[in-house]
Amino acid sequence: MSPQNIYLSPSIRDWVVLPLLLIMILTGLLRTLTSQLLRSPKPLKDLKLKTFLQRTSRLRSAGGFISRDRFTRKKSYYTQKNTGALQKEGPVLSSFSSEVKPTGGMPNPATAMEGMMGNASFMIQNMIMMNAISHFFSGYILVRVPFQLTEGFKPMFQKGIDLPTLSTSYVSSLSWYFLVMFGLRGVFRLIVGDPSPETLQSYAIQQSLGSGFANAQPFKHEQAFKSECEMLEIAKYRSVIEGSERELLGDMYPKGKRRGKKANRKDDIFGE
Amino acid sequence: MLRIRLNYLRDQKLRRPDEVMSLALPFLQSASLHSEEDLAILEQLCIASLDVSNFEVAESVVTRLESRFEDSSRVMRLRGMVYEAAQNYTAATELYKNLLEKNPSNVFARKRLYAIKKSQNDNPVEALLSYLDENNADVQAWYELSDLYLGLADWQGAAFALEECVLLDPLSAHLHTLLGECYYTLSNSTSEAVLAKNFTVEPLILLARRHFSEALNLKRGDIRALMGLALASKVSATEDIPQPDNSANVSLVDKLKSGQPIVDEQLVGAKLHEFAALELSKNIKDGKLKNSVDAYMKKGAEEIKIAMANKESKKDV
Repeated sequence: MSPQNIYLSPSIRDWVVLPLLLIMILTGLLRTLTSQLLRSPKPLKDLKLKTFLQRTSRLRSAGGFISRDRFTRKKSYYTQKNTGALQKEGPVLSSFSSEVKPTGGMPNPATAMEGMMGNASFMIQNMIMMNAISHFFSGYILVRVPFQLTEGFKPMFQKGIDLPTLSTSYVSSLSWYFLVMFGLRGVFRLIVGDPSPETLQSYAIQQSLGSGFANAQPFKHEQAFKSECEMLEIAKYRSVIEGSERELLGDMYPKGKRRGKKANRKDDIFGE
Repeated sequence: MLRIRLNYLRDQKLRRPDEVMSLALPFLQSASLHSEEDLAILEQLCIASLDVSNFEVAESVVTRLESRFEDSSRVMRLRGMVYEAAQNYTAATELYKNLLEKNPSNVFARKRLYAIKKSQNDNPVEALLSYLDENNADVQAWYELSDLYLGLADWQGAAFALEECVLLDPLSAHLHTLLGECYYTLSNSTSEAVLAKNFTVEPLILLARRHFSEALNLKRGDIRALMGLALASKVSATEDIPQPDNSANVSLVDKLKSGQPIVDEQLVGAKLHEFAALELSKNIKDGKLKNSVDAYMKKGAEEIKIAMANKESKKDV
């Protein structure tokens, strides 16, 4: 379809496009500020157990850099029947394990709410904004985007408009909302600026905890420990250390006796 | 300008207290408490003044910051450091415990609590172990633990801590060198625990040699690793190395199966010693030191020759 050139009313631009932009920037700022105020540090009961698993996975991945026997001993420290650290409840002491009693699979309502809060507010806001926009700003074309999509996108991008011949590059206010929402993320980062090291630190720890959605139930460490135990037991030890001397010496490395003592056998045809 | 230099030092996390003191002291009066850069400079000044034991400057910085920010954990940590420097450990401990209550993930506070225990010599190993229980990915903490053990001459503990360091940072030549040194020292030990092979069944001197080799693979020409290699290879070439138990010797079986040649560890030791002599002579710049090291290595090479000759003669018998 050849590019259609429709002249859009400037009052649409003045009263819809720019105000929508402004509204979205302001609500975005409001959202980030309120989330900063409401942020509470998550309880770190599960941290010990989760980070313990990191230790065993490090053993599996970097084990080649220590000697074979030391690797085996560390492995058996974790996996030994009945006394290994993964067979029990980890290296942590009894006072800790009483807090992490399994609740029979029923999600702990307090932590479930807390985990959902962060994303819920964002979702709710999205819903509200979408409905408000499609209610107030419907029925006319807002902007023309520089690319053309196929006809299938028409009902999505041209919600209130029923013109079958209209090019898909002319879109309604809802799609302007989506465009701006995704585009403003970078702008917000510029406006809000760098967070202080403490907040960065607590973000990092929260991330490693997998919090956000995941904390509906307390971390089921028995399952994770069991699977980690199995993985450790089958882990193959690929030594880097044992080959280091050969690598260092290169050609100087003495050639050893091969199997079958071929080197010692006298050569029948050529003599010594 | 001053600010550029100070910003650079902050970014690169360089610890130059004298320089920072001279550059940042004017900011004590002139810094604006509303500019983020000025506040960071004040923080830098405070820490530098604690490093040079200038408590008046530190105190004035902290009081100024406290007047502006009443409940900031960042200012509180400076206040804690001032307490520690003044050796007011009870106040410091209380402050750090408060910080931890507010934010249990505050790693800084946990580290400072350990540091207080260390300054008071109040069972620092236990304190550090409990810190490591929670933060086992902190390579510097494991390194600190190895330092503590070395101070207590607990070579096995130091080796254990260094092994955890190596698992965290396998490509660090320095860690391999230190680990090699621990194993070398242990191999000389006459304690029952070591002799009973509680630590490892493999010959420690070979482990030491291998770790030194790995260190040299990672960083050619490292003098400390070369010296370690020279010592370890000489010992392994002149002394009889007990063969490890069969139970742990799966590697030997694997080697046989794969057709790889079985090497004579003493011969390898001799070659490594040669290699170390060459590299040391190449890498030592100081003439006097070079001469003495060369002489030492020559002596070692002769001892090795004698030992190898003895071995040959024993074999022929």
